[in-house]
Amino acid sequence: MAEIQLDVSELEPCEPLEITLQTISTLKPGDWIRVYHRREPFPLYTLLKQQDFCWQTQTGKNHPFEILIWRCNDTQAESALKHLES
Amino acid sequence: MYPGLSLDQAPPILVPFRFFLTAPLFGILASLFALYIGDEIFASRWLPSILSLTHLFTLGIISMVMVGALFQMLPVVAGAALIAETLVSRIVHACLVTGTLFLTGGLYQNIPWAINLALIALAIGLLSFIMATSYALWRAPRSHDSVKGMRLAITMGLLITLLLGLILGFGHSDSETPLLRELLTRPHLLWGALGWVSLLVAVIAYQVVPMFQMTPEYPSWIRRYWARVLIGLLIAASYAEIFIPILVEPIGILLAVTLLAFAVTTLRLQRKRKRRLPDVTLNFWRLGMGALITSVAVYVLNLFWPQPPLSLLIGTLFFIGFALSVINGMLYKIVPFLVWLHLQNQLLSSMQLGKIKIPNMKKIIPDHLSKRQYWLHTSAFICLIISVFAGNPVFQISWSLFLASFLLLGFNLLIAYRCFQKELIRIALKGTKEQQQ
Repeated sequence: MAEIQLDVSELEPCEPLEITLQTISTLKPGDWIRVYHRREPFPLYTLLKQQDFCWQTQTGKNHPFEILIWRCNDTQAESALKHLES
Repeated sequence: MYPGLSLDQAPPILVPFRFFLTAPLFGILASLFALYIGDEIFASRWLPSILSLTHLFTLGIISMVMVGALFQMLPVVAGAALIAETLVSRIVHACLVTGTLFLTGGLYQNIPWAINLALIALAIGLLSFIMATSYALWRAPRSHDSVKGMRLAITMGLLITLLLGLILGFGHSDSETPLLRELLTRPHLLWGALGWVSLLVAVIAYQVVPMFQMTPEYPSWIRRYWARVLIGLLIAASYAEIFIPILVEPIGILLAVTLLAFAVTTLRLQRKRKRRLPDVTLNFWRLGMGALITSVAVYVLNLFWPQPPLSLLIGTLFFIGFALSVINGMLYKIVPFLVWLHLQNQLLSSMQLGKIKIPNMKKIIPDHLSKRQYWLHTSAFICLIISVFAGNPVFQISWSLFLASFLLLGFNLLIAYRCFQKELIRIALKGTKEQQQ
C-alpha cells in the first residue's frame, strides 16, 4: 500500500498525460498516484473514466492542482486515501 | 479554474484540417500573384492589385486558419458542440475558397459578376459559420474569459467586418449602389484587423500560450476586460469616423495602447516560461508580438507625421508580421496536438490504450523542418519591410522566400496528416490481429 508521486507540472503537453497513463497501468492493489499538475487535466479524466479509474482533484500546496488516482474497484486504496485525507 | 481540452468533444480531424491544409495553397497563390504584379503594389492602397492581395491574405490564409481552429476549439475549449459540424464545415470551406478566389480575381480585373458571386459565397459561408458557432457558444456549458472573447470576436468582429465588406463590395461591383469607400473602408479594416483577427488571437492566446509555452496565466485584468475594452473602442472609433471625425485620432491612440498592452503582456509571460528550451512556436510568437508593437508605433508616428509608405508599412507589419506569424506558429502546436489527440481517441475506442505507443507531439512534424520554415518566413518578412522603401528587387526576393515558406508549411502540415493516417492504419491492423487471435 503506497503512494506514487508524479510531478508533471513542468512538462509540456502531451507529456503529462502520457506519463500519467503509463504510471496508472503499473498500479498494484492498494496503491494510488498523486499527480502534481499546473493546469486541471480535463483530457485525462475522460481516459480515466473509460479505464475504470477513480480520481479526486484538489488545489495543492506547492502546485496549482493535485490529482489523486486509484482503481475504482480497489477498496483498500480508497479507504487508505480517505484515512489520509481526513 | 481554467478548462482544458477534452477528448470526447473533439470533432472529426478533417473538419479543422480541411482549412489548415488549404491556407498554404492560398499562401502559394498570393506569393505568385505578388511576384507577377511586382512592386507597383506600393503605389497606392486603392490599387486593385493591393485590394486583391490583401483579401487573398486576410480571407484565404488568416481567416481560413482561424475558422478551422474555431471548429476545433469551440467544442473542446467551451464544451460547445456544433450542430452538423462536418456538413457546416464543408459549406463554410467551399464558400470561403470560392468567395476568396472570385473576390480577388474580380477586384483585380474589375469584373462585377465575379465580385457579386464572391460576395454571395462569402455571405453564405461566413453567415453559416457565425450562426453555427454563435448557437453553440450560446449553449456552451463553460463560459470563461476565452469563451466570452470568442463570442465577441465572432458575433461582433467577424459579423461587422462581413457586413461592411458586403456593402463596400456591392458598391464596387454595382454602379447603382452608392460607393461608400471613403466612409466605410477604415471601419471595415478596423473591425477586420482588430475586432476579428486581434481579438481572436488574444482569446486563443489565453488558452494556448500558458498551456503550450509553459508560461504563467495571463493576468485576470487582461482576461476579463481586454476584449470588452477593444470592442468598446471599436464601436467608438466607427461612430467617430462617421459623425465626430475630430475624435478619430484620440480613439486611435487608445486602440494602439490596448494592442500594446496585449503584446507586452504576452512577451513578459513568455520571458517567465518555465522550460527554457528552443521552441519554433515561441519564435513565431515573439516575431509576431514584435511586429505588432512596431505596427502600433508606426501607426502613432503616422498620425503626427503622415507619409504614404508608413500606412503601407502598418498593414505589412500587422497582417504579415503579426497575424501571419502568430497563426503560422500556432499551427505548429495545434496540428500535432490534434493528431495526437485523435490518435489517443482512436486507441481508447479500439481498447488499444497502453498496448500501442503513438508518436509524441514533437515527433509529428520534425523540428528541423518547422525551424527551416520559420527562417524562410522571417527572412521573407524582413525583405518585405525593406522593400516598402527599396522596391524591386528586394520585393521579388521577399515573395520568392514567401513562396518557399508556404510550400514548406504545406509540406509540414501534410506530413502531420500522413502521420495520422499511418498510425490509424497501424492501430486498426493491431486490433484486427488481436481479434483473429
